[in-house]
Amino acid sequence: MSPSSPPPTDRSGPSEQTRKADRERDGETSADAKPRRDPSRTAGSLSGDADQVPSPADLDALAAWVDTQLAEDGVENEHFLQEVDRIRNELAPRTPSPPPVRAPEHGRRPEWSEELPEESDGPDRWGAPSPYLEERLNIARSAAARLAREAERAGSDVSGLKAHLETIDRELGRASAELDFVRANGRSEKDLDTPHSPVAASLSPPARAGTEGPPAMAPVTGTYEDFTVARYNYTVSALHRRRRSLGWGTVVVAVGISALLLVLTLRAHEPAPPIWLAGLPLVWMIPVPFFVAAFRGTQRVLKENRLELPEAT
Amino acid sequence: MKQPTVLFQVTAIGKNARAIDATTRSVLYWLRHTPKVGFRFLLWLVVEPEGYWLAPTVYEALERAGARIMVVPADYRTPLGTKGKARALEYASEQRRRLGLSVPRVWVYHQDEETCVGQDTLTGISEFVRDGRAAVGAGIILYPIDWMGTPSHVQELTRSYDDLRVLDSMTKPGNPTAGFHGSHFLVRADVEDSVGWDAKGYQPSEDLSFEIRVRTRYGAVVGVLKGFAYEKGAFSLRDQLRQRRRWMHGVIHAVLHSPELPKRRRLTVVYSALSWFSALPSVLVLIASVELRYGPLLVVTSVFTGFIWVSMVLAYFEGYRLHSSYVRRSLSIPRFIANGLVGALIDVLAPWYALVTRPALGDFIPKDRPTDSPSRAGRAPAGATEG
Repeated sequence: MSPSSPPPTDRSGPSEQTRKADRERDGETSADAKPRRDPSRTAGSLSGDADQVPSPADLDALAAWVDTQLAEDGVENEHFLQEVDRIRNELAPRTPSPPPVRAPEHGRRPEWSEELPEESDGPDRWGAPSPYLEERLNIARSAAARLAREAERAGSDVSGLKAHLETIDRELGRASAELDFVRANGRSEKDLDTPHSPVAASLSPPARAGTEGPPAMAPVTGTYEDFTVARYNYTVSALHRRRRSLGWGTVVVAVGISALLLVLTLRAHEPAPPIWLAGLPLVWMIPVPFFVAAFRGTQRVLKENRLELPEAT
Repeated sequence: MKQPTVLFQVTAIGKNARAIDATTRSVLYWLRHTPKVGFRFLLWLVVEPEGYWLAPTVYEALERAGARIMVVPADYRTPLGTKGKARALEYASEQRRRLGLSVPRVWVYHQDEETCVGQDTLTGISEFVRDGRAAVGAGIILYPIDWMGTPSHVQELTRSYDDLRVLDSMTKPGNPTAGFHGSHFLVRADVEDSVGWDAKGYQPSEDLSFEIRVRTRYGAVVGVLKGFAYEKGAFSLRDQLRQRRRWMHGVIHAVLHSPELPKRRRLTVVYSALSWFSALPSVLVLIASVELRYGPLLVVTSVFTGFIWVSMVLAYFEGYRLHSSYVRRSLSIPRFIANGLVGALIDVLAPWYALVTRPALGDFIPKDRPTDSPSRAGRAPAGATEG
């Protein structure tokens, strides 16, 4: 037997219980020292070495091993199962079958039916090998090789699928957040054509390379993943649009408030205050130049600079 | 022609490890998710030993993620013996010179420990360095991170709208309204390293001193940096007060201890400080006017009162509108007004508080959200509703 071939199992044929037991045993011992077997090496040992003809037990063990791997990987692959069943069928004729059952006479159960025949490894009990053995083994070898290839491919597929699922999950979250944002700000979804969507931008090939997920964060306000060019442009565009109304609105409201205060002051008919109080209201005048400069500067910087940025494509 | 290199430099004590972690990862995240960024990048975290040893695992993880951790040696001394953040900035400047990075095609983007970047920040930086006409760039900072609608957070909204004034002032000769930023500014490495951060003693506002020196040496070389930076406000009124106190100490220090400050510029800085100081007397005069009954004198001032009031209210309103796409908590209008008044009161008191108290050398403002805060627990603060 090849060193890389699966360990021998019950020679009477792998029942489901036997396989389960094998799986449990493997599970218990896998943490000790037994390395995970490479299916391609197992297949090679079966199909590539003519001197080492695999025994049916080896094939059963291979089938059990594949079952274990599938269970570990969580893969339900119908094709695999078909291959396993096919191997099992190929081996079935070698398993000694009980003698043909005759219908019990007079309703009596046959006494032998309670006892299974004793197991035996030797060919004496089975008689001469079948002339079709070699052909069946060849079929089994090729099936095992295909099985190994499929297992390998499925392994890489599963890891790829996991990565894709994580990407989809992450991007769905971001897309959902973007949609909420757009809806909240009154833009129709049709405006979200792919090239301008920050979600799509983030999926462009150069950016996608080497992507890793952001660290897990509590769902609080203002996480850095929200800080997109689209959101920025929306904010500064709105600010630019209302620049004039801000300017004129400020002047009009300021004049209104000042006029109201003036009217109230004049209507109060208060007596003239003592001279030592005359300077106090001047304190209010100190920041006036600063506020005027701030107002003018704000208007000027918005007028002279378009703050929008090109959106990523 | 070689691509420009942008050095993202986070300079801090380093005690707010979670904030630094988010800041660093925001840079790395958006570098990967921003197509057509037209620069190479470096990422330096310049921290003090006491900050590093508070959370070494965080820094090790960030180093594995791609950041370079530079712990300022405890025995490091600058030629003039500056202290505080300026010392760390000077240390980084020395390292750049040593590594041959003090060249015109290298740019330094300065970040505080809580200065997260977005896709817009990187795109704006890319556009700025490719344009290359200005040697220093400054932009608008928003404060949406961990925004909970507290008084200090509402007050922070006004700073974003005020940044428009700051940008205008910084890009004009003489910086007429004395605007400056300590973070979210981009400077060409050769310009920064030729000016340096070293000064005698402790500089409470090293960024103002730096801006003064750059302007003195290079003139009006500031341009508008597109893209926001994203920071977080102080978590408590006490922290807000201490932060403002440091600013005012910085202004006073610059006026008194900056020989390179031109006379005209000195006047504008003094006037800016005076405007801030006048806030408290204005409130007191307003209250007293009812009792003292000097209405006739208000005939003159009332003409301007309306303008000042509208400007102040507009700063809150427009500040909130700038943040509305980023914050997911909304406040009821009465709560917003109440919190705004409380936050404003702290700002009114701050310069006077600065006159009577002195900050410690390592005045530390927590930027890591308290773990038992309502935001962490998923509960809205009083008066706040999920928007």
